[in-house]
Amino acid sequence: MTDLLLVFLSSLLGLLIAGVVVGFFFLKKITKEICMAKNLKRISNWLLMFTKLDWRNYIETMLRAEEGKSIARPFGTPIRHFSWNKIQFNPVYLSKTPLDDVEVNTEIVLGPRAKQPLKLEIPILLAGMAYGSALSLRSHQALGGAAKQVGSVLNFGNGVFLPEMRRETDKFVLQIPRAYWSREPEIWQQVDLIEIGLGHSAWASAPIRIDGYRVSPDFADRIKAIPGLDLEIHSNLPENTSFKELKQFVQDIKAASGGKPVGFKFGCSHYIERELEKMIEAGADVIFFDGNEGGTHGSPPLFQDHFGLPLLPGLCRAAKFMRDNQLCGKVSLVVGGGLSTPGDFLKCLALGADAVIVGTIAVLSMVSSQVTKTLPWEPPTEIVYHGAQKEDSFDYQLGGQHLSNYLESCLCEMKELTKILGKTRLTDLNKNDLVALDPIYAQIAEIECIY
Amino acid sequence: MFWQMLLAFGLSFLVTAFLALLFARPGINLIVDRFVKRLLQDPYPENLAEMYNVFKKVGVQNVVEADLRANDGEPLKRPFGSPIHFSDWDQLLFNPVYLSRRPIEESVSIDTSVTIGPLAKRPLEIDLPIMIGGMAYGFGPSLRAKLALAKGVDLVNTATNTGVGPFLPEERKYTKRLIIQYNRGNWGKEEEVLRQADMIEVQLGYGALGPAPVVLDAEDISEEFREYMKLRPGTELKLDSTLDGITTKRALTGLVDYLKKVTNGVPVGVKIGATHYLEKELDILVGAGVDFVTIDGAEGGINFGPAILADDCGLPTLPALCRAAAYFQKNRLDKKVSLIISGGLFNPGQFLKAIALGADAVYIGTIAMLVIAHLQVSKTIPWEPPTELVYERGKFKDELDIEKGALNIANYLKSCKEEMVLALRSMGRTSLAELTLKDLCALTPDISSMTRTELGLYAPMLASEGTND
Repeated sequence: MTDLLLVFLSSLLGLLIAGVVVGFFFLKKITKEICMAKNLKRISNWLLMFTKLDWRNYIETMLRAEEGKSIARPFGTPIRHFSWNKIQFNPVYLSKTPLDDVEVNTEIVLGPRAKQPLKLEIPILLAGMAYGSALSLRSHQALGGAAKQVGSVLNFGNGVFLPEMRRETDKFVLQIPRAYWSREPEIWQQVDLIEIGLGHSAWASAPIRIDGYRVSPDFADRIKAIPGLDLEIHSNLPENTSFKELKQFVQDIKAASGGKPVGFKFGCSHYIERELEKMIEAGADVIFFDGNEGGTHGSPPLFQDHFGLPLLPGLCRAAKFMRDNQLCGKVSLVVGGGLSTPGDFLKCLALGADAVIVGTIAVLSMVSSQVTKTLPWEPPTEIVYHGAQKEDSFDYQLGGQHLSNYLESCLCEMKELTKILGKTRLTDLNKNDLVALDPIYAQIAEIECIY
Repeated sequence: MFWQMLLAFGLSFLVTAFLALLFARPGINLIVDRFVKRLLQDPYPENLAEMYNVFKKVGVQNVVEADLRANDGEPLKRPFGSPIHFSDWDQLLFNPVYLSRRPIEESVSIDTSVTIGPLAKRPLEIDLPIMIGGMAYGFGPSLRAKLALAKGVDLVNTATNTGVGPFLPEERKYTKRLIIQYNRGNWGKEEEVLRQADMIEVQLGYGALGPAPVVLDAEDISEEFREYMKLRPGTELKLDSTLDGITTKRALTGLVDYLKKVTNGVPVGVKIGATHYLEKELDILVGAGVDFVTIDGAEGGINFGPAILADDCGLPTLPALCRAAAYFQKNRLDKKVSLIISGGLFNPGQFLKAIALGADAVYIGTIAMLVIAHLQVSKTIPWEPPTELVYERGKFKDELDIEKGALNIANYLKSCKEEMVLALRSMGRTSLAELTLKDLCALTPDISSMTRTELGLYAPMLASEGTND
């Protein structure tokens, strides 16, 4: 197979070289041809079209023209408003002593006020990626395996709790969707943290219709839905008929689950302080949110490119709110959205987050070398989605191993960096360890600027 | 013959493949080495890297356009308008709500309809705030393209605009809502034509051309177009820089009153390109009693205009919109005179932002033309851009399928509407009218002060917090 491909590629190369040789002889003629007015006009027209309207806009416009309904772009927005590279850590030499042979403590506690707080060995959580409507069972087995190995936690997203996942992993986050399922107290007792999903950045709080063909029969069976029928995620939580009811719902979960921490998940926005105020009043132990860079299985570009707030200002505003209201150490802050390197993770922790969420990058590192099974005709994600063609060819043990390697590698680097800052615990990092390369970043994060 | 050719091709393929396999690595190595040596050794003025420098310094577009000027010695006839992106729509973000206010449930319907010219006797009602801008048959789009647009907008109950072209009876037949432009030329002004309009737009200029005169040479006028215009062969068409006799506020008032009377009260408005003298122009327009104002930003598209007018003239769409909206608010014109904005708007996010910033509706142009070409571009690519299919002077204009084009533009508008409805739900708004500046935040201090929206980088000041709901 590989030989055949090599022969094919080589012959293409041969043709290319032949083309170059021929082109060399006719170069003058070709250049002259190009410079003729009518050809120049063609070139100019093409150039104009694609500088005026970038190709993504063009393709999305054409998809709209084809489908006649809101389109779903995977992975989230390509726009990056802020770069984490504009913030740097401050290593110490003699002003403080860099550390050498000590073990850096990476443990965190989520929801310290709850009766049964969730203790994790690393401050990196796997994002809620829905079982049944997005990721396949094999992918969840891989995620679970990795989570157990590194001491993180598995999240089922909008999907449903899978008791048999106990074999793969030991800690679970259950998301309570804005729909009717995941409401059984027996399930609440089996998980370690309960997250009320009010929305996420790529969809904001808009209602989501999961097309029937995307719902796996197993998932439909577990939530007692009719396979093939559309599922609806509403814009409001059914229990949230009034704020009082919502508060009661949180109390009920806490009581019925035996004191598990309860969190709220939302997408960051300009109203973040008021949202936080409400959530904490409702009894939240943990706050989860993602900046507008957050990924998704597919959502309208309008929400991805034009909604919410990027993670950096969102996190800084939330952390300030926590500090101003003396909530640090009482309510945990977990953030995500476009984070992909250990440096990003550590910067978030230093800016005031208790933990970070990884989604897209976790899936990509989980697929890792198994991309060869889908390339070159399908993107790598075709192997992790439920209902995708190559779903069954995914080796979840290998995938889990790759993901846990990635997380271990990140953790090692984070520890290295923490040592040269002269600190022994990740939770000791703070804003004084950071410096901004740009005044606007310094203002947003309330840290010093390099000049 | 066929088999022989196939055999020859196959053999040559195999031989090339074999040779390439044999010599691939040394061959590539040799070529790359020689190339790099040349790159690193040649004196700078002879070095290939100089090309990179030139293109980087001058810009590919400018090099190509300079060559075009060198060829023709005439003002550049550039399509699409300016490629420069002046307005930074990306620095504005909408504010979804979760618990601070309630998002809107699916059981509540969302109103995206808009009334243009609410004070007119027969206002124009459209189901979604997106209309097709003035693109003139003959000057730009072909007849088939115009008919596809007219048919398409009718499927989603919005309006299309004749542009400065001739009145097309077919277009009228295909659509329920037709905006007729009152042009700066001498055609299409008969009362029986004007009476057929559902809205009249007096055309004083474009964002990408300003009020410059437009001349369509006799050789650029196709036979079919000439018949519609009832022109003698060999005559050119000309749009003057001013409307005949309309240079004062009084004269404009007279014209507006005349048009209102003739048409029995359809909305009558004026279209201008955006300029720094916007407020002064608006003073005159509003004083003349118009029902709506159309402002075309500098990013607006145009068929074949001089590059200098597109790149270096006028005000970009975003600041023009913000200033016009501020003017409307100051003079309490909000529910009396409608504001239509156009120029470089391509996606529903931008449309919705324009509406939140104070526009009542938007015009789309370039993007609509590309949409009706949709999959039919396979007839033109790769040698010609898709516009060859939809322009009167395009080579493939007769191959455009009207039905398909209409369906595609309707689909596009439907898709945009659906996304805008979802967006309104997540902002907790039930209609476009409820959408305000409070639903946006800015990511840079400049954009914040230009658009008068709050800066999203910091928590809002306490004083303004109460006003947010």
